[in-house]
Parts: sequence; structure tokens; C-alpha cells
Amino acid sequence: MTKVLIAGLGNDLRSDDGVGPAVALKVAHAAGPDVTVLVNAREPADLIEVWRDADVAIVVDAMEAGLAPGSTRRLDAAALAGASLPASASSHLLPLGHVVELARTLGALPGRLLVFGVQGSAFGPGEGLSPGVQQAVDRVAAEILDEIGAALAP
Amino acid sequence: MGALARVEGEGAMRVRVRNGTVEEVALDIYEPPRFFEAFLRGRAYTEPPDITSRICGICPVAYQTSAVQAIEAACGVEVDASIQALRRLLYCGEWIQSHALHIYLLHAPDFLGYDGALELAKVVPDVVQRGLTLKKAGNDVMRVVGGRAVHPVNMRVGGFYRAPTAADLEALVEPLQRALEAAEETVRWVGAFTFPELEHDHEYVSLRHASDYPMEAGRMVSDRGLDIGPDAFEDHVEELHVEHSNALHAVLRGRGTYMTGPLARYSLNFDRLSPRAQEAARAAGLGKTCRNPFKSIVVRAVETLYAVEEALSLVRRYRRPEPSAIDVPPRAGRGSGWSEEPRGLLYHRYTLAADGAIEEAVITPPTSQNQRAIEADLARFVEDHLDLDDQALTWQCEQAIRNYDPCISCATHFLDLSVERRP
Repeated sequence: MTKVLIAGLGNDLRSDDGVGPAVALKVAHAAGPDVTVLVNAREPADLIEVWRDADVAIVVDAMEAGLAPGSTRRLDAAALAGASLPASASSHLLPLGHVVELARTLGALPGRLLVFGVQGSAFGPGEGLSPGVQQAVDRVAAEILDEIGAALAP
Repeated sequence: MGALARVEGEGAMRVRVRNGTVEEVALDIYEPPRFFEAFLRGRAYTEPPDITSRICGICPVAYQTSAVQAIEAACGVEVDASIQALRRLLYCGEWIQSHALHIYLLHAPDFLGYDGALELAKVVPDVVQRGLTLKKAGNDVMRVVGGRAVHPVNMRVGGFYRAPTAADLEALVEPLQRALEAAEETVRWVGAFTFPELEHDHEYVSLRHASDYPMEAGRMVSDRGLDIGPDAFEDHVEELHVEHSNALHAVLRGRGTYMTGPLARYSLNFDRLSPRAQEAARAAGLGKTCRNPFKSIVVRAVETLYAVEEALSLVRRYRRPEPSAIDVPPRAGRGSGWSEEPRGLLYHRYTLAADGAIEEAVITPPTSQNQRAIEADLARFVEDHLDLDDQALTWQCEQAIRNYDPCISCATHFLDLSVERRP
């Protein structure tokens, strides 16, 4: 049985940073029991240990890429490797790009890793997504469900 | 902030230098939880454990613990020893995972001359894996006791929604035993690093308990004679608005700057550590107190070892709470609660209406208490490194700030340094 793991990264009390959890929640409701969904993943480094046991892992996260709010980017592990990493980590959390590379170095990457980034427009404290980002939730969730379907197809 | 999103300047540090002397270091790294205090007003007294645990992805248990204890105090109830022990076990899990993350993935690379954990992992993958194994043991505790590894949902006012069975906890013994070795090895590893000379003289403040190393319980004491219960916190601690920052700076009324966190906790509670943790600390070159912020990494390692031992001991002594939560009827009142977050003392206070609606919420996290002390340390550090260009100085300052593991709730690549140099 292919092991599929979905993780929504972010904080739903920080406006558009909640897009990862919002998408993951939608996927959790629609996906079958064979799929593990982490709705509220907050600490990227924790993903390394759960990726170890997964064949296919998908991460959804808010991003700041200078695009229109709600724009999405889909990156596989190879594309993330090409992305430029900042010179140093934060004082408190390890950025996702670092975590992917760290997992690769430690031989902990799943067979297939996909990251969906959704451009946010507001990241201040507060509940609710801005309209453009809200519209992206269904779209990204549908794409992820397609990926799950493909991964689990016999 | 999601990990893909990087907003420059979320953390800012301004340095003003005149004539080769540092006149001011202003740090703006921290956003006070004013949003959450407002968000909680009018909500039910049962809601803060869940809501405040979402303030920080690294220390949800600390927020839950301080919140439930404050609300139970407001309602005039006390949980029994079995519930208290389960809270302490969950707290051990948070210390282990938070300290392991900070030691291995954030702080150690600075001492060894690597850009970050990735570069470290390329050279010594086994060492980084040891850190992840240790971290995972903490996550395992949080998953089994707390309900979910990342965002525990099991703690509630009065106890737990469901108390784990003895068999649930038995499954933790093996990973914790492996973590015990990893934790001991960690103390030896970081103890051998080279540390810059820097000693501060801030008043050290931490909880102190009659018999245990402080996590979820104790009185607030200092090395200069402070000794108070939670209800007196706001009489002694004053939060000041400062011009340069949206953060509040806490000071002790009539005494000034103080510091909470691992260095203070260790220095005030060395005698409460286990013999094994004490011995590991001595072997790593620590005395009974520690005033060098760069050595906080060694203190974190010692605390991690203690937390693993304590978790094992709590698992072995486990008595399943029956029932898993006591009834907490609401009443009009005011209650304060606190606990030792991995990075320092976290204080909550709630004022409730008769029906349990929250009239006022006050949250004072460690970073707001430590902000002044951090700035003072950085001013001295910058003064010793003024020969560096701005880029090198930024890099050194980021490393120095990491000593305090400050709460930066949404910044990733965080430091936007501006230096004003005048003749």
C-alpha cells in the first residue's frame, strides 16, 4: 500500500498563513482513510521524521513570492533544491527549503515530494483568509486530491 | 509565518555608534500577544488552552499549561497529583523537542563555523540524526500524552480529555531510553565547543519548586531575594512601552532589567537537577551557575537530559488519573498561572465573569521579559566587534541573538540590521 502524507504548514490565526491548514483540512475531509493528513503542522523540521515513512508526501504552505494573492506554485523536491536558500536559518524555526535539503542529506526524503506554495497578502494576527487566497483553497485541494488519486491508483 | 514566506525586516536591530562607542542597541524582534488577549475577551473560560497554544508552534504545551492553571485558580479548584504529573510529562516532551531543535538545527552550527544545519549534516550526518532522534522522542511524548505531536489538543481546564493508558505510555519507554543516551552524548558534544567570553550581571528570575526542577509549578524567585506566588506577578513586574519597538519590555518594579530562561533556571535550581544531570553539567565544564549567554547551549543540553530522565521516571510511576479531568464550574474571579517555557517564564492571568466569560486576559511571555537584558548583552557584544563591516556584524549578531532562542512568531530569515556610525 502506498503511504501518502499531506501536511498543511502554517498558523490559522495569522491570516493568510492559515492557507496550508485550510487546504489540508479540505483534503482531510475528502481523502480516504489511507491518507495521513497533518492539518496544523507548525514546525517544518518535524516533517523529516514523518517523511521517512511516506512514499508520497505533499506539503502546502503560504509563500511570499511577489505574485498576485492566491497565485500558486507547485514545486517538486528537485525544484526546491534549485531554489536559493537564505544564508542562515531563523532564530526559531528552520525554513522549509532547508528542511527538504536536510532530509535529502539524511536520506529521509520520501519517494515523491511535492510542495504547493500559495501567495498570501496579509500575515498579521487574525482569522480568515483574504479573498484571493480563499479562492485558491478549493483549487489547490482539488489538485492534491488528484495527486492522491494517482498515487493510490493500482 | 509559513516557512516558504520570507518577509525581510520582520526582526530588526538598530545600532547607533558614536565615536567608536555603542550608544544604543534597539531590538525589534518580537510581537506581543496583544491580538490574542483581545481575541480571548468575551470567549468561554474553557477556550484559552486551545487558542493560546496556537500562538507558538514550538511551545504549545507551555501556553496550555499556564492557561489552565490560571483559569483553575480563578475558579478556585486544584487538580490532583496524577493530573499534575501528566501535565509535567507532557511538558517534558515539549522541552525535549524544543531544546533539541534549537541545539542541533539552529545553534550548534554557529559554534562549529557552519552556515546552518544543512552544512553540518553534510559533514556529520550521524550527529544531526542524533539530534532528530532526540527531538522525535519529545514529539512522541507530545503525541501520546498531548493528542497530536505538533498541536496538542488533549489538555483542558481541569485535566485531560482522555488520559493515556499505562500501555500507551509503555510505548514511550524504548524511545526515551534511546533519547537518554543521545541526551548524554549531546551534553558532552556541546560542552567541548569554544565559547566567546561574555558574562552578564542581570537579576536571574525563574520558578522554584520544593523538590523538582521547575517546569509546570513553583514560586517565582530571583538571585536577589524575590520570592512570590503567581497572584503577585503583576505587582512586581511592569511592562513598559518602548519607543523603538512594538514589543513591551518587562522590568521588575524598582529593580529594573532581569532575565528568565535556561541560564536563570539552571543557576537558581542546580540543586533540583538529577544527580546524573548535575554530573553531566560538571563534566561539560559548567559550575552551579552560568552567566555566559553563549553557554546557554550547554545548559539546554543539560536540561534536555534532565527532561528525558524525568519523562522516563514519570512514565514508570504513572497512575492513570480517574477521572481524567475534574469538574471546574465557572465563577466570577481572577486567577494567575505560570510555567517554565523552554525559553523562560510564561505568565497568564484571566479575569472571569460569573458565567465563565473572559473579561480580561493578560499574557506575558519570556521574550518580552528578556528583551532588555538581550539588548544590554548585545550592546556589549557589538562594542567588542565594531571593527567588522555591517554584513559580518549582522551575522555575528544573529548568532548572539540565537543564544536567547527568542520568540519570533513569524519571521524566518530574521535580522535586518542597521548601523548608524557617526564620528
